[in-house]
Amino acid sequence: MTTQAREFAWRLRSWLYRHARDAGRLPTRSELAEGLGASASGVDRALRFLAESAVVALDGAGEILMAHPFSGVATPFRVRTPLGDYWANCAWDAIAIPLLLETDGRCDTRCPNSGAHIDLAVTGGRVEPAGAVIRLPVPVRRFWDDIGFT
Amino acid sequence: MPVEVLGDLSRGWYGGRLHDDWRPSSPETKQALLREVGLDGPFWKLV
Repeated sequence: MTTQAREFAWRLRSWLYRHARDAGRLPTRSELAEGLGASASGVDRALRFLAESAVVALDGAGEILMAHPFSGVATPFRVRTPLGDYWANCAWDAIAIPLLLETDGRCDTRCPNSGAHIDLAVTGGRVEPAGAVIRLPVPVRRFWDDIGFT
Repeated sequence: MPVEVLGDLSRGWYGGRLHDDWRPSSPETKQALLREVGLDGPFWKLV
């Protein structure tokens, strides 16, 4: 991959994160091409590079499935903030989105084990409910072995 | 992991992703972030 192609990939990354913040969802490949004035093949090459760099995860069609902490698909973790509402990939990301956006946020979800309701929140930078515990299913070294499972 | 610890970790782990010059952290930097919030031991070992 040329230096120019890598630079484009990093520029695309910045664009997609700003899109996620402002639109409340991840962009499609065609939106990336239009927004960046790029070819479809250039966008796909950049996304493959970002996926190989563990920056995004792509679905089978090559669309962005995850750009952490944002999810490209609906999940049990809908985060509501004063800036907009967002899909998070997991409970960790539900906390991370308000912290990344430097705003407050809430996520009404359920414990995957007990089914108990849990109201995750970030208020003034403080994470709640105090004392709640989140389980990570795999050791940190294996997070990207199967990022969908993680 | 307590959500408070996860919040502390998130600030370093995810911070800066909205900046144009963000690049992935090295495994060593991530290991240091984990250690800073008290996450040590085999489960948290990256390098």
